[in-house]
Amino acid sequence: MSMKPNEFYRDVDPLWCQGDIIRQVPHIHLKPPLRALRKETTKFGERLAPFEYQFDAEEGGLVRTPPPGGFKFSTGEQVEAFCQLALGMVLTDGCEIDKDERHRQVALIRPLSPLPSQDQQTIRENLNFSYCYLPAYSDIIAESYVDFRRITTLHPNYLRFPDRIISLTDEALKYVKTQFIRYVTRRVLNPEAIDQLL
Amino acid sequence: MELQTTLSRSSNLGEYSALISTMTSGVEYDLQERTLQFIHAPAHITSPYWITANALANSTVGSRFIVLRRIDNYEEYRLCEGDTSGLGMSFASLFNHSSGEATETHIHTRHNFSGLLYRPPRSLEIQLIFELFAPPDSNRISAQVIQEQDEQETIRADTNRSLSFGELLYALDRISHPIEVESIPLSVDPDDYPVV
Repeated sequence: MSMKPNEFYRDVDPLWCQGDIIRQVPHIHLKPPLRALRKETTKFGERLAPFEYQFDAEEGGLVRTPPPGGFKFSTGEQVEAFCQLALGMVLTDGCEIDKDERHRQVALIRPLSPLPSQDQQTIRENLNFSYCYLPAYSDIIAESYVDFRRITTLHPNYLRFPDRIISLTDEALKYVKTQFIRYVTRRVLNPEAIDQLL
Repeated sequence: MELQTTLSRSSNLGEYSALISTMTSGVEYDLQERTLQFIHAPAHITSPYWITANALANSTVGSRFIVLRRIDNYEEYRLCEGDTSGLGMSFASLFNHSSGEATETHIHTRHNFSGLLYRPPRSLEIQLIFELFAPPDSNRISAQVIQEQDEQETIRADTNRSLSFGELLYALDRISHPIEVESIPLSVDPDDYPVV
């Protein structure tokens, strides 16, 4: 990547934008088993009780007690999920942010330094398609990378309070989009198509 | 070479503009696969508007555009033709149609050229037709035919029309090429490392 950090980042706008980088944003990774959470009243007060859902109870052989009224995944259940609070990058396009009041896509940003050195170099050179290298910038953001495997859909309320620390320039946004398209399509955009990205 | 053809209607009826600009690059282009592209103005737009169309071509291919529109308060239609060779535009009067329809009724459709001529148009439509013509001396083609006035709203081509599977495949082929190297795996899974 040939862009200098000061060409890569810019100050945030008053309005939320694609490419905004934020602190303390929840990143969800739903891992098995799938457990629905239902409120129960006990002698200790109200609590959430987990009810494990068996995708194939016949073969699994273990059928747990379903919640009262049965599972309601078709309409939606609250579930138990693995969550990390970390830096994130808004992937939702600005036009979509203006129109949609309920959904924002945020990708996990990880620090590069904890990884083994050879893996750090692989990511710096963008040789692994699942990740997108982000350069360090002053003391605002350390050398990092976007993990495209970890994209979470959040309600915008989650983005009210976290700090937006910095945002991407237009050129940097093109770079991230190009890497994302490579990740999902295993194709490389032609230069003239990249010019049309914004 | 990508040709961007922009046509607009000014506030003065009957005046059109065509601004054709170029971008450098050599894009392979299969004429056989290219079908006519239809662009329409939504019925709810009453103010002057822009319509923008993009056409891909290589240096041996020209983009010829055709504009067909309803002239307000008149049951008269004009066909406007032009091409990207910079030779200018020609106008021809077309049909007299009487129709009580107040809104566009033929959006999101594909037509060949003859089909375009024989349908009753109710609003501005642009059709891009690609034809072979002698390559220009330069790899860049630029022609501004008539300057536009009072443009207000941008309408992009085919944004409301659902694309066929073949069209989607073709679109991806146009803008990208397959990766020729494998993704290099990491020795660890970043999921096993702290995020802060």
